[in-house]
Amino acid sequence: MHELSIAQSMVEVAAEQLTGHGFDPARSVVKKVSARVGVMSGVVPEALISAFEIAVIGTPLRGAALEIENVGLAVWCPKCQAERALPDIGSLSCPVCGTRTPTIRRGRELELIAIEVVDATENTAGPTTDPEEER
Amino acid sequence: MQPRILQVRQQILKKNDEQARALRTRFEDAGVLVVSLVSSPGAGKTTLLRETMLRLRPQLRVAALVGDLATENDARRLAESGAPVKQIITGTVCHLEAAMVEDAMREWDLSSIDILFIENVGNLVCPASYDLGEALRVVLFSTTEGEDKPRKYPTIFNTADVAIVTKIDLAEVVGFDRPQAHASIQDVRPGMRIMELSARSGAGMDDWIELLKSHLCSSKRPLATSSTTPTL
Repeated sequence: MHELSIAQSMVEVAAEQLTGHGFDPARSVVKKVSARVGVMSGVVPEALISAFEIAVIGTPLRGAALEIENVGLAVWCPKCQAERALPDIGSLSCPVCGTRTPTIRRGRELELIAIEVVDATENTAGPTTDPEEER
Repeated sequence: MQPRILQVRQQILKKNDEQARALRTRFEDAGVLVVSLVSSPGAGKTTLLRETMLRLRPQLRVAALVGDLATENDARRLAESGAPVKQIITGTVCHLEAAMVEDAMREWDLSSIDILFIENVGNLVCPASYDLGEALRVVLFSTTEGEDKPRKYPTIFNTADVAIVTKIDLAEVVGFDRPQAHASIQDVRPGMRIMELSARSGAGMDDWIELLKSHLCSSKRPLATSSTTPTL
């Protein structure tokens, strides 16, 4: 299953990002990873979530959850000169004027968007009752 | 403990994408036309490649990399053409990646190759996500697979440049609906170039060879030897 390959790549990219942002992967607890997956990326979101659970085992991301933002297909209609959202990927033509629309604007994404991480070395006073989430 | 949200915005496959881009640059600099083939298992990639290389040699210098989960059988078949061929055994991996291509051609001198063919693992799903640095990606489906094949695999058709219907000599006997096949390709990937051929009977092979030669012309740098003259 190539979703496992994809999940392993996610873990690698996330670990690199942690280091790049000054976190020590060995002392960080990653709570959640957010990703954007396009409907035409070639990746099935549910399969990616299952694969991610396996891929994080024994890595700095152990125990992290994966949250996926699905991105639908959008094409460029040369006749309407407008971007059009398409309900499915099986027929690339403008829903308004019927013109064929080979140019894909959205729907191929396969991106890591955000990592929610706690630096375990920051806390010296014991657990807080309701940690504020920084946005 | 304060959780922090790190805004990342990174391509998940950036490593493969970067390696593929680097390969593409190397290929372009060396004037090698790289053509990859994807299809379901059994659509006829190896047979087509074997016949293609036999026709292109010795006028053009061709080579091939072929990916399979197991066996060297396809490499052996392609090597019958006399061209250099390397088998990539992927084990359980269902697709080729840029790193595998780079590794397999490590010992080759790219400047001594005109066209490098890369035959992907038989699979119409997973190869869609992996750029291999090729200049031309060809997706094959055979008349025995049915005219609605493109509708079942729109993603991979949208990563390819040319669609080839193979085993066209069997079209009538299997009741293959050619207009429907063309319609399904145009629905899924409008404007896609479509070819029909049979590697066994030779039907359509001339057009395919011409397509390759015209792509090769544009991949050679202006000061290089013209590809229309025989190379030794």
